[in-house]
Amino acid sequence: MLRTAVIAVGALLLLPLLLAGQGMADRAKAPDDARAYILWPSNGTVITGGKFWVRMGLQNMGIAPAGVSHADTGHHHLLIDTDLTNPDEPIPNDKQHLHFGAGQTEARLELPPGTHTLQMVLGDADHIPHNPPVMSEKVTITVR
Amino acid sequence: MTSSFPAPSAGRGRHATFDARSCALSCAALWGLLSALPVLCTGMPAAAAEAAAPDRKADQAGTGAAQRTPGRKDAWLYIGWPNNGQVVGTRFKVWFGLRNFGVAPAGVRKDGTGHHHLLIDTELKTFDEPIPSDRQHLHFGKGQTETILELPPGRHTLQLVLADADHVPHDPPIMSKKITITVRADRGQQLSAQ
Repeated sequence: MLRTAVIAVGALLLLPLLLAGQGMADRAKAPDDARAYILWPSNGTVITGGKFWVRMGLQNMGIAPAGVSHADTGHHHLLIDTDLTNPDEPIPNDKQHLHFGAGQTEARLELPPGTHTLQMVLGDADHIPHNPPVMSEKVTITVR
Repeated sequence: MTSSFPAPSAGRGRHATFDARSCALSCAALWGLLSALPVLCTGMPAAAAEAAAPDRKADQAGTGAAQRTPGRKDAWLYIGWPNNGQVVGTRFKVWFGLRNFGVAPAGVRKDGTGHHHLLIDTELKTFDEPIPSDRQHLHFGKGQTETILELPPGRHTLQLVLADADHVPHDPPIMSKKITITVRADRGQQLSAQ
C-alpha cells in the first residue's frame, strides 16, 4: 500500500510539469498568409524634426486589444533599434519595445537625430508572438 | 477512507489513527490541485466574461438609442488608400487609417475601440442602429484594417465608419470623408497600399 501511495504522490507531483509543458507549446497560431508591414515610413525615409506617425499594416489577420483572445487576431508592437530576442516569451514593455494594446494601428513617435530601425511584431492576447511570428521587415530611417 | 487528521476531541491516545500514508496522499492531492489551479483558472475568466456579455447585449437592445458607445473628439478615421479622385482597376486594396482610437473585433467591448465598416455607393441613414450588413455595407468584424475590393467599372464612393461591439456607430460618429474613385477595367490590380 505504501508503494501505491508513493507512486500516486509521484504522479501528482509530475502533473504540474505536464501542464506547464502544454502552456509553453501553446503559442497562438497565425494563418499562413498573414503579413505585417510598416506602411510608413519606408526604408530609407529621412524625417526632419523627429516627430512622425508610424502607420502599421496587417494583411489576413485582425487587430484585437491586449487581453482579448480571438482567433487570427493580435495587437501591434513596435521594436525600435532592437530585435526580437525570444519569440516564446511576452514582448517586454520599454522604450525600445512599444506596445499598442488598445488596438491602435498608428503611433506617434518622437526619435532623436540619427539612424534608427523600426520593426513591427504582432503579439497575442498575452503579448507573445504568434507561431510563426507575424513580423514586418526591419525598416531603417534617418532622423535629422 | 478514515479521516486523515485526528479529530479535535481525539486526545493524545489516538495518534495511532494519524496515518502517514493517507496524509501523504492528501498532501500530494492538494499540491497537485494547487498547481493545476492556474491552468484551470485561465479558462474560467473567459467563460465568465462571455456569460456576462449576452446580458449586457440584452440591456443594450432593450434601451435602444440611449446606450451608444462614446467616441473621441480627436479620433481620426480616414481612407489611407485609394485617394479621392484616384483611378483604379477592378481589383484593389483599401487601407483603413485610424488615429487616436483602437480597433477590436465585433463583440468586444472596450472603451476607445471599434471595428471598421466600409460604405460603398451609399450613406448611413441612422446612427443609433446597427449598421446593416450587405454588399454596400461591408463589416470587418475580425478587426481587419485593410481589404481587397472588387468593383465594376465606373464611379464609386467609399466611406469608412467605425462602430462598436454591436455594430452601432459611436457618439459622436467616427467617420471618414466620403471619397470618389473611378474604376476602369483596363487598369489591372492595385494590391499594395504603398
